[in-house]
Amino acid sequence: MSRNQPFEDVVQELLLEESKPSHAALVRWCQRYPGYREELEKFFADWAVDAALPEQFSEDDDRMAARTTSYALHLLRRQRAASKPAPAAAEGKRLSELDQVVLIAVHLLGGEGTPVTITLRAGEMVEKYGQLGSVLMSLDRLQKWGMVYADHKDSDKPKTYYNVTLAGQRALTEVDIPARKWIEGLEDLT
Amino acid sequence: MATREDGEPYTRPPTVDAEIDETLPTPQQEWPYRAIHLKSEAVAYLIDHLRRSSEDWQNRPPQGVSEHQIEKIIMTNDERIGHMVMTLGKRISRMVRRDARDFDPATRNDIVREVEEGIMDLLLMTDTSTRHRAFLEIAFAPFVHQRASDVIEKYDALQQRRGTLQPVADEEDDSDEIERPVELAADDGPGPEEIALINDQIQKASARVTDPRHLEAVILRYREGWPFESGDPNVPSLVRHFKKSRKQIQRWISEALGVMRAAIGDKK
Repeated sequence: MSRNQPFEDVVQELLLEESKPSHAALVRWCQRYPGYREELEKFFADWAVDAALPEQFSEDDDRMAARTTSYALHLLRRQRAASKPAPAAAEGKRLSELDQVVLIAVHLLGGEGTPVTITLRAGEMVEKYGQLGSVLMSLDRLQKWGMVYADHKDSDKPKTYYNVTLAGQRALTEVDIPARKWIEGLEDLT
Repeated sequence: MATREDGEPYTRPPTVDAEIDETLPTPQQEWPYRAIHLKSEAVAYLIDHLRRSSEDWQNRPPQGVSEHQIEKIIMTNDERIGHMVMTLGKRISRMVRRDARDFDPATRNDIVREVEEGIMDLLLMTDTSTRHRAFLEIAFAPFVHQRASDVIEKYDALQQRRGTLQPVADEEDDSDEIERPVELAADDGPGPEEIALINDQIQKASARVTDPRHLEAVILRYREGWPFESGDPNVPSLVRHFKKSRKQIQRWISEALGVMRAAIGDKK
């Protein structure tokens, strides 16, 4: 028996049979899977150290964990918003040119767009749409139709970031204005 | 449960199953507090359980429950998931920090962040391969170390390309040094005093040992009985594991034991 079996499967077998990372057990498993000697050696060394050391965390560990928690919650919210079925109001909705430009701007900013940056990007595409007031109203409409969602990321300053939902991505494939050329990789959406 | 390559289903170690079975009937509000004492595999399972529950509430809401109530349930689930992710995050950080000990602190943090985010993607994304997610519930720590090793390899290559790899100070070249007696790490194995020291005090004293490799060498030698060297190329030994000379490893162990002794002495 060597490397025909994935190492993950070897580890699973091993954990079912062994309760401690002793050297005798390591030698036994190396004999059984000589092709994985190096991986087993590292596995047993990590296991032994993990088991021996107390659960003491440094300030760095606390800080990294807090950051990861924030990342995880953001991930959950983003996923949930993206999979939320589009409200009936969005069905068959034909977007105005302004709404299309704003939707494209939100898409291009990849979830990092705030009303101000979305306005700037919309203005770059079509100058007359670079107005914060009309962009805010458009964002409000798009949100009501389930095409974008707002995300309040944890940061020093409370900011609202916008991202495109699945319904919004579908709508992007039907954009029919000159600004379409701004959509990078739009073909992937079709 | 996902299946192995040979078609057999993966099974969790019985100790993990026992913890899950014991926790599931308890009120969910207690889970975040229980998680601190649970195995990481069980915590991963509980997080996935709550994530799937939220998904069900959102996609298949029972009749008669208002949208507002559903949102509240999902938010409560998120809060509990957040607490449990915090528990796992600390454990991951501790493991990866040790694996990435040869990097400067900023790069080490980058490596920890990348590994943690990768694990969260696997744990929380709905389109994750069930095989990988299942593995987090079977062997969490090995999975984290494997991920860390992949990320470290990437950073190693990156730093080598930039020519900025700065390995931690290593006193490996000992050829010119005056040989000191390595009394605590004698060739014929540890004495009773050392074994007692390790078994009773390692947890108390380990925080004082600054180089994780020294501590690892002590643990592998005294707790797990690894030989310094082995004539059989298939038998793992400390020399092969650390890729250092026997004398070097003996010195590491000697220094670590000295620090640990002093630490325990302080407490007396």
